[in-house]
Amino acid sequence: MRTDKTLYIYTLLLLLVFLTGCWDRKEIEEVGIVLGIGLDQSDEKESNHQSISMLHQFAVPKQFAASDTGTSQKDYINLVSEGDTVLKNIREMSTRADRPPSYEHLRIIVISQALARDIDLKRITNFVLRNTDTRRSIRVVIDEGNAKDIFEKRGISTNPALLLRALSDNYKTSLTMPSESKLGDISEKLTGKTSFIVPGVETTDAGVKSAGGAVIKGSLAKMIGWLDEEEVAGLNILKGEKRQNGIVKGTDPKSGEAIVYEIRTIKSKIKPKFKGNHISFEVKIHTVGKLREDWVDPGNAFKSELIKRAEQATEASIRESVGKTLSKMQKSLKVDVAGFGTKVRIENPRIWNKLKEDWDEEFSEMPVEVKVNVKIQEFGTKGAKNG
Amino acid sequence: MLYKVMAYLIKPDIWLGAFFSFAFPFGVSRVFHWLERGSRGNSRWLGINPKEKAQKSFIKQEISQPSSIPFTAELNHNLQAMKEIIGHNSDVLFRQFKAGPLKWNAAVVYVDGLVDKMALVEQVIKPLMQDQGILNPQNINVNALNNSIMDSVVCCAEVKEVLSLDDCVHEVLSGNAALFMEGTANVFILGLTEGKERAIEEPLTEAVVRGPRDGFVENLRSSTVLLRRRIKDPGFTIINYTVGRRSRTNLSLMYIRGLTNPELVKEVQERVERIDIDVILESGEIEQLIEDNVLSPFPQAQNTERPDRVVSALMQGRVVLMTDGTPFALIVPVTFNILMTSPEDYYERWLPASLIRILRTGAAFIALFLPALYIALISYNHGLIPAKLVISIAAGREGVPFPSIIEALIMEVTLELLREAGLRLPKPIGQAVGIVGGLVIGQAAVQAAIVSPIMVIVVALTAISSFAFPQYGAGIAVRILRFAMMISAAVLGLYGIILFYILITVHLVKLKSFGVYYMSPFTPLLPKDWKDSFIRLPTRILKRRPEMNKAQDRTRQ
Repeated sequence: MRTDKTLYIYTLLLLLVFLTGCWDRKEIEEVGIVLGIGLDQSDEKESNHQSISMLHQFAVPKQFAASDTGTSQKDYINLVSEGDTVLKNIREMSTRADRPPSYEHLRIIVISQALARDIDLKRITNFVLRNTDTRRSIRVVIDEGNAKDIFEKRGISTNPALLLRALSDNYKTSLTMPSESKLGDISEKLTGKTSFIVPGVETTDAGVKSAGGAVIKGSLAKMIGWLDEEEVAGLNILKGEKRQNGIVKGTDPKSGEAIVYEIRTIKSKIKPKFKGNHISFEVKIHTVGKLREDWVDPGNAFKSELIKRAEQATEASIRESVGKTLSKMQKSLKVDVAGFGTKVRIENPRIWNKLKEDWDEEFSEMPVEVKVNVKIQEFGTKGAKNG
Repeated sequence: MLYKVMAYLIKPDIWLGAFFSFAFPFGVSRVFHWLERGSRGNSRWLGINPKEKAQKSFIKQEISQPSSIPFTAELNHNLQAMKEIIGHNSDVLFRQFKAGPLKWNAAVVYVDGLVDKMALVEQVIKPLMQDQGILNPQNINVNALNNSIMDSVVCCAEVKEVLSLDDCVHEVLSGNAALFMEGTANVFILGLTEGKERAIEEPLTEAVVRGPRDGFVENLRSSTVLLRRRIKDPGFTIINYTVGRRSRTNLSLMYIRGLTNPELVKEVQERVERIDIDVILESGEIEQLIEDNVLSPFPQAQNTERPDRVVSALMQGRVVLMTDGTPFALIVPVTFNILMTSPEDYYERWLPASLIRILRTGAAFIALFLPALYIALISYNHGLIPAKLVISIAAGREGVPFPSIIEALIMEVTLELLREAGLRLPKPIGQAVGIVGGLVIGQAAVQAAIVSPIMVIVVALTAISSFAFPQYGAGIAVRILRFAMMISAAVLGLYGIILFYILITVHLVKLKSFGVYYMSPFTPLLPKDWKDSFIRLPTRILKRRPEMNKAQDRTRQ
């Protein structure tokens, strides 16, 4: 009978496990689903610290579900808080939202231009990265104006945060948008003191629009300038980033009319050349694509002469656009966002170790030679326009 | 360094944690050992006796019946003895008559309704009464006469002699007629059984699209006939047992000599002989008395109404038990994999059969996990749901006052209630229950905001998936585990689901059915048997019998 008694005690001990209950339980409808976070510069100054104004966009599930029946109510609410640290803002949030914020479905972080130029980005992203809820794949964009305004602009049927996320994921179809920047990548680059670009957005009357890219200087961890859409296109070509239907407009050397070329594949090769302490770069860009539109009269694509002219026109146009980007990078911004430094590091680590401290400045002095090779593979179902 | 370790050693919370991390698994294993030992040794559960007690043969398991008294040579004395035991029954008839010109006193004893009266008159009574040749006064040697009666007078196909009173009583009650002759202690048992029985019909529980339409019936002999027609191999062996002290139910053990592993046959025989119970009504009772693990939710014997399934099992080297009075045959050993197959898998071509098997496996997972996953995702791990789905689920749950576990329990219990009610009611009313239940579950509960619409989808999918099990028993096991799974999901979220799944896997891997591991051919690893597991390879490739049954004859083609 003694063994039976000990076994009863064991059984009771096992039942202890259930006493803990469901301590982590939080029902899906009891949390506030945060879809977007906007960070702005605050007007109020708190002590000697720079104050941040933080906007949380919460989803209103009921309105989401009812969106197809055409209600005029918004499917989101924006709550704004002020504070000198991000955490302080979040603490403040629980004093005004009826549901505790959950960052598991955070889609996008918008940082206003003014703030990005003013504050070390590492400090801003720090909290979000240390939070266990959030993902490292959250997209980050920089807003030309105020983050508060952009979170009021609705898309065709989506709410502002989802619209911004969709917009930042659209880069694959456009040559003029920089690649998406994930929170994890940003943190990696900031820690490595590499310069990079973050997609920019701007508010227009109609809604939200992608607006080139914001250049972040790695050593400062602050934004230092913009690349406009054309410069972003040049950068994308320079990096050889695959875009589905990037369009390049060229000018026919003979008639001066427009010729439009669509990229199918694009490859670029950045090759550093070392001569003693002197470094120069050679960039080879090779692209294959199709002739999409020509204003040349008579534009007969059956003739290889026109195709050749179109290729030349495209080459010239690409060279010009890449050149513009390069001169902006080297001359006005003095920053390397195209990954020249990485190539040097791979090819010649010893020189890189000497230069890496102020690579951005060193890079701006280095000559870059661009070679472009365009091949038109096809011209669609119509060759000659006349006949 | 050492100092740091020492500092850890004196902390009480470390010791507490260590104690619990040891005591919890140890406690679990102790409790289960205790329960299991209880089920085996101390005969806490009815049925199986410890081995030493069961050493005596089954035939000696008599109760309060008179011991085997031999008959005497006096007819009246013998009849009197019979009457004392069964004479109080109105359906036991004693017919006395005088045989032949010899005027030899004779009597037949039989149970009215169990014996074919026409045959009794035509084959026994009439020849005896009218015989002129053998039974005439010149022959006076009783023993010689006795033999010649059986040889030349009584023209009945099945005849045997019994010497003791209780054997005779048993035979009469089993539906045979007993012939008593004056002057001899031998009693002839005439096999003239005739009973009303159900016609052979298509089995209700195991319908197939393609395959034989006959099913077993309650009569054991008619059922074995269905098997004999399919197997003409002389090695096909049927051994008869009588189980049940009072019911004296016939039980047939079937295997194929030269194919089935003799050790398996011996093991089954031993277990059957160990049964000591008053009445056996259904093969399910046998199953529960001979199974390995009483505490397991999983069935450790397969039951079927289909003769083709039994034949296929015999050919795989398994042993079949059939009980008189029920159409359900028992097949042992069984594995989880076998419970997920339908006989149709072998009749259809291999591609559709494999596809359906994969589908069934998927259904098993849905039936086991879906409500638990719902609870875990809703209450704990929202981050795993796509963002837009989270919002729409949250919108659906807006206004539902219960946490997801209560919501799921309400719906699942309602579903089980409906299923049980629909099963027990007569068919036309059962349909009405279905309609009412469908409306209550589907419409009203959502409109009343007691449950969310997505819960209804979950419940419906779970219900349909749990109907996709080809074996009812396996389906029930999963139904039980589903509730446990839901509770563990409610306590610990996805982590709880994983823990419970590990628990089930550990149990399944350890479970044995008649010496065969329940999860074979996956554990232990028998890659050759994988040809017929999640997928079924073409029949031409299935050249060998399953290895797990250790058949003597391994080759099929």
